[in-house]
Order: sequence, then C-alpha cells, then structure tokens
Amino acid sequence: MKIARQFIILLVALPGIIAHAQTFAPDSLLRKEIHQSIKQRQINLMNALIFQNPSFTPGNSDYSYFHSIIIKGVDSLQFAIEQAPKVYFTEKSARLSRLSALLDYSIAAILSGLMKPNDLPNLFSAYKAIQVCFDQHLKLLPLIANQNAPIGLVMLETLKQSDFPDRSVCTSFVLRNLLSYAPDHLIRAMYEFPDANNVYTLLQLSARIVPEDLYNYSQASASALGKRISNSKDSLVQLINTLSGLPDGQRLMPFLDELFHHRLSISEIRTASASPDINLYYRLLVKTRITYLQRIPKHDTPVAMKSLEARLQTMVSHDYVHVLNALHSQPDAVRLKILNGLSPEELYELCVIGVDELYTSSYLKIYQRLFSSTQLGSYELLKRVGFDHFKRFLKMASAYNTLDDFLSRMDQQDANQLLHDFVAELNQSNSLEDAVDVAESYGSIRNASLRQTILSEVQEEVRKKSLNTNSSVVNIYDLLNTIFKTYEGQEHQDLSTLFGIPQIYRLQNSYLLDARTGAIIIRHFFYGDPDGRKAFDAFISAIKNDSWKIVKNDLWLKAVSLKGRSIVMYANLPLDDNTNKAEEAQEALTKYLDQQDIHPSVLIHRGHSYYLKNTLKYITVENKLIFLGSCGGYHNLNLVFKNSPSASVITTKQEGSLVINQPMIASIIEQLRQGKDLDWIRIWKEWTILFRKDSRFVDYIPPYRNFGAILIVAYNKLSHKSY
Amino acid sequence: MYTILQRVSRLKVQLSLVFIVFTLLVSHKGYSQTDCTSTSFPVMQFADRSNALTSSMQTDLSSIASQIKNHPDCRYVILGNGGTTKFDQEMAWLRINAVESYLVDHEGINNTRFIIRINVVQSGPINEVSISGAASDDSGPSTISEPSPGLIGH
Repeated sequence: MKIARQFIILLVALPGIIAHAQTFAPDSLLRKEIHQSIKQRQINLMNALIFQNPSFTPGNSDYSYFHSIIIKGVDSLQFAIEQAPKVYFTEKSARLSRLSALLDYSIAAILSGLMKPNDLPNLFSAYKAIQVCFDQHLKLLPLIANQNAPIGLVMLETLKQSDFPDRSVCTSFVLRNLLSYAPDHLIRAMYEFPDANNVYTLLQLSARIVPEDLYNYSQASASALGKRISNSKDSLVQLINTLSGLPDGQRLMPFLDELFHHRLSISEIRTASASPDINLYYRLLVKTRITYLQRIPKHDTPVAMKSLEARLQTMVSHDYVHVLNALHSQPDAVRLKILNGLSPEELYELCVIGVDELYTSSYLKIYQRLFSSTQLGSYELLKRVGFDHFKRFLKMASAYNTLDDFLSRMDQQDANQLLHDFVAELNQSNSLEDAVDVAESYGSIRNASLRQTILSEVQEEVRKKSLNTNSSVVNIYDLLNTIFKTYEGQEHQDLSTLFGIPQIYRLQNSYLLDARTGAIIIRHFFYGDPDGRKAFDAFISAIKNDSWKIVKNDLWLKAVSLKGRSIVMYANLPLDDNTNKAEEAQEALTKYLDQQDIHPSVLIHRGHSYYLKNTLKYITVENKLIFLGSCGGYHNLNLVFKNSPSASVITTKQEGSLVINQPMIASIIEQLRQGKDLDWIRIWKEWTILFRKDSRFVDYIPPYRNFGAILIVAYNKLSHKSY
Repeated sequence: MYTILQRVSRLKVQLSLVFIVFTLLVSHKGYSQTDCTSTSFPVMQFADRSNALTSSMQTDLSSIASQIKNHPDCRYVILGNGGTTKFDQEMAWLRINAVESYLVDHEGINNTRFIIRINVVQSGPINEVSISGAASDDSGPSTISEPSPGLIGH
C-alpha cells in the first residue's frame, strides 16, 4: 500500500522531477562531469598529435591551427548540444557522451597512425552533420561515403550505441573502403564490427593481403570474429586458421604460399624446423625467398612474404649474426662453425639481411667464405639469389672495401651491366639514400675502368636530364658527376668552393679554436675493456712530456699544452667496464664541460665498434673534426652527420687498429699544437708512406673522400638555394 | 501536508541521484577502448645467472599465451630488469629472448605482438622478467640489439 502510494506520488511528481533535474544542480553536475571529461580528451587528443608529430610545438603554426580545431572546434560542438532547443537533458547527456567517445576514438586512430591530423576538421564537420541526419531521420551512408576510411571508421565506432537505419550498409562500406585505404587496420576494425554483411568476403581478401593479421585474430577463436574466421569456406582463410592453432604456427606461416599451393607440406617444414641442424630450416627459408623473388616480376606476389622476411630476419640475427659477433675473439674454427655447410646463396643472405648488426670482422669472415669453397662467379651468385638486395650488397662491399674484389669476380660486361643498374633511376628515389650508396661505392673501386663505367652512366643521365625542361630540381647526377670528375682529376675544381662546403680538403687551425678561451678543445672517449685501457696507456705515454701538463681526478683528466698553440684535452678514465664506470665518467665529464660552457671542436673515439653507439650520443654541431678509429666507423657516418652536418670525419671501412690510430691521433694533435692547418691531402700522403707496411691503412677514409657525406651536404645546400 | 511535501522532495532527490548514476553508466558503456594495460600476469623468476625456462615457467607461459591470444588487439611488453652491470643487462636480454622465443615458437604467437624492453636502471629484482599489456601509445620494438655480445657464452 505504501509502495503504491509512493508510485502515485512519483507519477504526479515526475514532470517536476525531470524539470528539476534539467534545470538545477544534479543534472548540471552530470553534464559538467561530461564536459570535464571532454575537456580532458581535448587535451589528450592534442597530446596524441604532438606524440605522432614531435614538430608540433606550442607557438608554431601547425600547433596553433590544430589547437584551434580541437579546442575551439569541439567547444562549439559542446555549445551546440547545450543550446539545442527542445532536447531533454537525458538526450543532451547522451550527445555529450557521444562527443566524448568521438574524441576517444580519434585519439586511438591518431596514435595508431590510421588517422592523420588533417582528417580532424572533416571528422568534426561530419560529426556535426550526423545530428542533422538523426533529427531528420536521414540515412548516414551519403555522409559516411563522402569521408575517407579512417574518418568513416571513427564515426562508426562513435555511433556503436546509436540506432540508425543503415548501420549495416555503412559498416560494410567503411570496412571495404578500409581494405584499400589502410589494409593494416582492416582486421582490427572487423574485430569491432564482426557482424558486417561483407565479413566473409573481407576475410577472403584479407587472407591474401594481410595474412599475418588474420593469423593473430584467428587465435581469438572464441571471439565473434574468431567464429566467423572458423566458419569461412575460403581455403586460404581455413589454412591460416589451422596454422594459428598450431604451437609451431609461427614457424609454418613463412611458407603459407607454398603450403596453400601444395608445393610444401607441414610435415616437410617440420622436418627442417625440428632438426637440431638449424641450417636446414634456414636453407628452406632462403630457398623459398629466392623462389618468391623470381615470381614477383611476373606479377605473382606470394602470400605472407612479410612473415617469411620477418622469420629470416629473426633467424639471421639470433642464430647467426649474434653468434658470430659474440665469438669475435675466438679462433675461426670456433667462431665460424655456425657457417659450416652454408651455400654461397645462404651466406649472401646472411650479409644482406644481417647488414645492420654484423660486426666488421663478422662480415669479412662471411665474405671470405662466400667464394672460398667454390669457383662460382659473383655475377652468377647474384643471378642465383635473384639479385636480392643487390644494391645493399654492393653498398656493404663498398663500405667494407670488398667491392673491388667482388666486381673482379665477374666478367667486365656483367660488371658494367650491374653498375648500370646500380646507378639507374637515382632521381626517382624519394631519398638520397641510393645516390649516397653510389657516391660511397665509387670511392671504393680501385679498378679505373669500372669507375669509368659508373662515371659514363652518370654522365649519360646528366645528358638525358639536360633534355628535360624541368630543371628546377637539383639533379643528383650533376652532383655525382662533379664529385667523381674532381676525384679523377678531370676537373680541377674545388668542391669546397663549388658547393659552398667549407673545409673539405683543409681544416684551418683557427677554425677549430674556441672563441671564448682561444684554445682548441679536444675530447677523447675511452672505454674500460682491456683494449680500451691499452689505448689509454698509449695516449698517456704520448703526452707524458714537457709539452703537456696533466691534471687528473677520479673520473677524468685534463691535459693542457705548455708550448705552441693552446690546446686543452679532456679524456675520461677507462674505468671498470662491467659496471659501465667509463660511461659514467663520460657523463660526469660532459656535465662538467656543459657547466663550464666548454665545447670541444675535436672529438676522438678510442674504443671498439660496439662502443661507438655510445660515443655518437655525444656528437654535437660544435664538433668540427671527428675521428672514429674503431672497426667500421665508416658505417656510422650518417649518424655523425645527422648531429654535425659539416664535420670533417676520419673513419675506417674495415679494421681499426691501435698501431695506426695512435700515431694518426698524435700527429693531428701535434700539428694543431704547432699551429698548423690540417691539410688532408698532404697529411694523407705522409701517412700513406708511414703506414705503407700496414695493409689496414688503405681502409681509412680521409674527409675529402667521404663522397656520400659531400653529396648530402651539397644536395641540401643547393636544394635550399633553389627554393 | 508538510510531511508529504518533505517526502516528495526527498524522493525527487533520491530519484535524481539514481538517474544520474544510471545515465552515467549508460552514457559511457561501450565507448571505452580495450584497456590492454590492466592485464596482470605472473612474473617469471629465473635462477641466478641463468636464462633457462623451468617447466613451471613454461606452464605459466602457456597460460599467459592463452590470454594473449584472446586479446588480439593488444600488444604486450616483455620487460627484464637489467640492473647496473653489463652482465646483468646481457642476462636480462637473454632471459627476455628466452621468454619471447617460447611464446613465438612453442605457443605460435606472432612476435610483432611483443615489445621488448630492458630496464637499465634497476627497479626490480634482477632475476625477474615480467609481461604486461602495452599502452596504446607504446610502439616499442619487437627486438632489440644484444647489449654486450660475447659477454655470456653462446
């Protein structure tokens, strides 16, 4: 009875309650909460943009533009919701919550890279139009079809809780659109919308385009999409679904195409995969890759090529390169055991796939093996591997000074053809990378006739280009032509003057002076391993004389010249390697130098190649001369020039050695102390005589032969000029 | 009369509060993205100076793998505590790889679903490797270079 009475009272009072809630504190509080959450999401969205585009910084025009879109644009949407006439407070809350969801999904889409910042204005406009469609009971498809796939997807996600008549058509449309626009995001979207009408068709297509994603989502077999995948009648979808349920599915996936076409069976792959001889599985991967490469020119793209490449990368890295690198101090019989039984093709793949991780010595050992047990010509080898990454291989051969040998193992005609392909189409590339490879390789070829071939190819491209009326773009071939002709002495031009790059041939003593102190500041980086300690001892011996005063603390030392040009050198002590004490000392020294406003113009790395990454962290634009005497320092030139674009750099392409490094460094310091300029051509002639008995010296590269670096600097300078 | 008005007023307030809670729940339901970071898995506790997976760790990893497979829209961070020495960092790298290799080669999970990370500053027990759901803005790598090749024998 009491309940009934209260119910009657409620019915009578309901309109008043609603009006109360709509007008007064409780309801305002609710919407205030949602407005607060929207405000937070506006900030989060702005942060997401900054996260994806670090160049967005407060004050710049992009930042201001998007700040306005996100803050003012969304504020106006909130305002419109609040001001909408004849809308109950519940509906207003729902609309605000939907706006909040829009921001949530936008943040996710920006962070995943699906949506670009420039999509936001269209997204917000489309979102505003949705309400009009809802109010007028219009279909949404025309609105959604007018947007790109990411915007369409974010709208669909936002409207998950809303009813609209053509939801199914819109979902199918957006997913289909996503397949062509951003296939990498398709399965993820299908996971959210597994009931789309076209789900089976899309699964069939995605099995051929993004089989790896389909594999991942097949594993969620209890999910709605997982069930659709299980129910698919498509044989490739079924195969992927089967593999995804096997414990060794990841070892089978690289061969998906072969399995699908019944050229390999699961048991055949397992025989290789489960064998204690890891070469068997690696061999199967390489063989399959080469087969795939032969199919691609015939427009027959193998399915799951990405899986094959990823597995090869992992295997090369973990099972071969890490072992070879780790055993660098062991005798060849121990170190190279892992390579026993590998064919030249398999060794070649180790090089081109392991390119970023191979130590110089590991590469050289593999290269020696490449031709040691066979009479195979190098061009025939390239044919056998389907010219897989041949530009990368030539670049490596150039960087490690084995290009001459490689080219000498093929007929002149084949070498000419190879170099023609190497040099072709450099202007079409979006980056300078290929051109830099050509420039660097040129300096490595000692065979004058092969160099002439490259130069002729370059000049032919220059001639073609001159016929082209569009000459506003800097022609890479023009630059290469100039650099190569100067090197050959065909043109007596000074690249410094021609390209406006200072100090290529001669580093002036005064150029290295610190204006504030009037001294040349040199910094050495030592490490705590036995070789690092030896290098440190050699350094100390060289300056323990009446020309230098050495002051030392627990972490680092300072050596000041007492005669000649004022030179101040700083060097960290080679402290305990296992606990990174040398690196800590470097940190402490850096802090001290920063505090004292001291900026070294000369930086010298005194450690093995695996310490180089650490030294490179400290390179700044103030470093005008950089000496990287470790093995393969040449391969890190791009990192050096990133931080100090016009530095003069001395590197070696192969093995760095204390017996060469120490005299070179001592000679540089001594000439600076005597107030002399560093005339690299003269100095290099002297060093060539000094080190004539040490074959390793030919791998050291003077600043004026860093053709790749010269090309980059020249290109950038001239590009800016042409704007 | 006064009592009735008081009751009606109290009821109005109560209903309004109920309505607020209800609306909040309804309005936000379904909008939240998958929160991958809320996942919690058992920590792998390795023996001193060892990267061998014990059978109990393998059992744990199999159970973890089932959960990972059920959330294909998440990535997972495999984190090793590297400590302050090169040996500890190298050991952490070897342990992380042992865990990842098991999940990939024995449980069939794609390695792109993992983010590999070594704590270079000791923030937990040296012998531990943990697995947790990655934040949506975490785009860390699936592999990282070996910190000190050769320090611990292959």
